[in-house]
Amino acid sequence: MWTSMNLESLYRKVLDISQQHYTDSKYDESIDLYRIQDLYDCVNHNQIKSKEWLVAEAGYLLADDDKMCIIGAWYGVLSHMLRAETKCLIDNIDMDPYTKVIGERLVADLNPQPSWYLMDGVDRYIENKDWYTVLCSTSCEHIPPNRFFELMKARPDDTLVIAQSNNNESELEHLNIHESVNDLADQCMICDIYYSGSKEFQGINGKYERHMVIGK
Amino acid sequence: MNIIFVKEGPAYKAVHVNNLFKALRPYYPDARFICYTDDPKGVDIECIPLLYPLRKWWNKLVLFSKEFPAEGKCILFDLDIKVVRDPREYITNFHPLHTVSAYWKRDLPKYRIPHAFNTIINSSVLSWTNHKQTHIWEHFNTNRDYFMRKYRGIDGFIYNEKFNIRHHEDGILSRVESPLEGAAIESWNNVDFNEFGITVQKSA
Repeated sequence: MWTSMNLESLYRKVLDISQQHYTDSKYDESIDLYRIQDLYDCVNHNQIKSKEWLVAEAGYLLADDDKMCIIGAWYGVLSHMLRAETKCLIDNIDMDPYTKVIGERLVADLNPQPSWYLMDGVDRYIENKDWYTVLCSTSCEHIPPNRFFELMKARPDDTLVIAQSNNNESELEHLNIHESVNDLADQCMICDIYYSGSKEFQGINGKYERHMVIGK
Repeated sequence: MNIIFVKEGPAYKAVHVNNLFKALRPYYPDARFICYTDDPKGVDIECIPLLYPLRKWWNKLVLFSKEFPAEGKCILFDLDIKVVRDPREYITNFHPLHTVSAYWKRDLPKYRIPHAFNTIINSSVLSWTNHKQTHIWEHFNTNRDYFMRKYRGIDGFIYNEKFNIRHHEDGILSRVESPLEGAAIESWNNVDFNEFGITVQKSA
């Protein structure tokens, strides 16, 4: 079960990794200090709130023999949080090579450890769509609409989908925002909805809504 | 010679493109004028539809991709500029990528602090030879979302990722907030741009 003790453990790891990153930078000028800012952003208030929401609504649906593909996993915070709920196989997929370097340190003491694949998440899922039993993304707004369509069209009917997106236009990397949870459910081509909902979040440029849909 | 404008989203209108075309055509009568846009309505020049789903200024990087359909010398002009006089004397080099040197920043130490990832270049006027800068686009695509989080725009990306670039001579561009007398082009970069009764708010 995900608790405040788990959250403290996650924050402690983030602080330790950040400190090590800064220490390493003193001896290697190629080390990118923006990574520390980026790592803090991945556990900011909104990130944790959205993932706690997901764990609360989807955690009980995950069986230990499930095989889960997380597209756009970033540093793997969701996989860390889900590990408190399930022993299922978790693959984190991200194009950013450094997410694996940091992410593997973040989940180092978890059992079983989530894995990393550094590639396009849509490609990874489509190549292995019959093997994965759960398709998850908390960053659907980052996936271009045509690629999102390919992803959902390829998904077998019995695969569980856990999808979050938002209607926050102010971030320029948001290429596929969803005005409502119904828009998201439609794009996910979900026939049997187990959960759908929206929550208000405070962004840098004002309030926005984050949506989540779970179903098959 | 290709003269290219990028118009994505609702902020800038066809009138901005058409006016710049009229202002620049006398100096580049044989050029191919191109507008790379998601909305060709009302644009009087050749339009090329978006090749990749990017937003706002990040679309300028697509011009360096091998898929961008142009040949030879290229000049990009931003839409928040006014042509004051003939800019050709300043735009004479097309390899490597040439940018504006941001005279309003380059001597201020705060813009050179490495871990601030700021920039002392400006991309309001770019010149390059098409298909000779594909490495810029390819590098961007290796880690697109991270770069868009790390840098506010393509100026920071190009400067901090340390591509081999050069600069146009000073005098190509004057920024309205800190004017440079006699410059060929006035830029409203980061300032509300009010032309043709349409105000485009800063950072639009």
